[in-house]
Amino acid sequence: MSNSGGLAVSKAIRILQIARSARRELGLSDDIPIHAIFRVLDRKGLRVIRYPFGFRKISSLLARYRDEYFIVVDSTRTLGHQVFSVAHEYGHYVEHRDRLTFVCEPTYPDAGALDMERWANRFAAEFLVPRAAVERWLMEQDLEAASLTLPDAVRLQQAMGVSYEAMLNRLVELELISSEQRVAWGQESPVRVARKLGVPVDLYQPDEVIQVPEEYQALWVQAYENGRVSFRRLQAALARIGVDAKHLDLSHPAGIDDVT
Amino acid sequence: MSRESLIADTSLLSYWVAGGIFHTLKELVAGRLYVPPTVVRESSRTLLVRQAVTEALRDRWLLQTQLSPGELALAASISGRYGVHQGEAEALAVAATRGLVLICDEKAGRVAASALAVKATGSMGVLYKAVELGMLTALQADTAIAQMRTAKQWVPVKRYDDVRSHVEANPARAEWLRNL
Repeated sequence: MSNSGGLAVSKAIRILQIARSARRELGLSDDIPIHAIFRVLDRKGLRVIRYPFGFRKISSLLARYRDEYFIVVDSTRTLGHQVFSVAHEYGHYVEHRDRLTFVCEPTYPDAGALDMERWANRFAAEFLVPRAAVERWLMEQDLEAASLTLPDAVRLQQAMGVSYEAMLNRLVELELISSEQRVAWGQESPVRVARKLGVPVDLYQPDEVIQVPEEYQALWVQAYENGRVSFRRLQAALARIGVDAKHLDLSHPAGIDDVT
Repeated sequence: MSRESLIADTSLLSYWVAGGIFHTLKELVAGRLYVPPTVVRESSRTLLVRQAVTEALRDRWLLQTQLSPGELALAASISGRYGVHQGEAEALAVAATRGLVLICDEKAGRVAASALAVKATGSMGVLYKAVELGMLTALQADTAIAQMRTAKQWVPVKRYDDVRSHVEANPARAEWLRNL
């Protein structure tokens, strides 16, 4: 029970099965990391939006508009945090999408006082870091599970593309490190270790990226050119993604009737 | 003579400043041309427009109006429903509530005005009035249109004659504009 975060074992197995099935639907086997999760989900019809929110109250949300679902994540969080948040929201999409909107603060692992939040955190862990992927990595690195070191944990975290905190929690869940090790290693700076190992540090930093679905600009332009939104509305929408509408070669919808 | 009050979105102000004829508005509509708060803020993004609007507001021939809570709520609803920006939505809400004539050059704004039964004209409609009342010559209007186009303002006409012939194809409309 200690490794299932308070969930019943049968429930934990069910989450594992759902996470596996979710991977299969994305064409991903259990023994590989998920690279470019934002694009992977976006291509599967879920709209992933990354945007620097400018406030700290929430870090991600899942919303539905008509028949489309959107995962929106705050890109002022570290990249590792964003990855986990997106997987968490994907869990909500997979299992709870009949509910309209989720606004989440998934501060792993304690965010969920609510069952569904705990469920989504467990899903994200199983989905991003399956046991098979960790075992394969250990085998490829010729490492013994029992003798995992802190630098190994950082390299594994890099390979899985998740946050350091999420990786340590997962290692405890997989019984590869003890809770005491988790606490001790949690005191270390992963950036310092990563720099010593010569591995990238981008997972520990916010990227403040603005990522919107590819059609975003085209749909706004189309709406303007069809006279359904005004130029200033278009300007404001495109300014959010750093595009100046005045520099676009637009077909302006206003005819002489609209200016006399 | 009609003394209808008017409310403008940003386009009239920026177009007429770009055309070098902003001062003519004072003769045409002094004391009855209103702008909502967001339009004043939007106008301040360009130095020349900011200077012209600030001076006109100071001299009180251009008037800034405040929206009531009901009008603000209506503006929010108009913005969502008709795809117009905040300043345009505020102008539409005030026009609809108080019976003012809207001056707007946006397709989306004019569609909204029609749906809300708001009487509307645009910067070229006001230009027609200015020329027909003798405050500008047709040549000055041509120059103004050319300057607006050079300043990247979207004006779907190249010469004043285009405006006149279009307006006068509807005599009732032409008369309404002259008397506005």
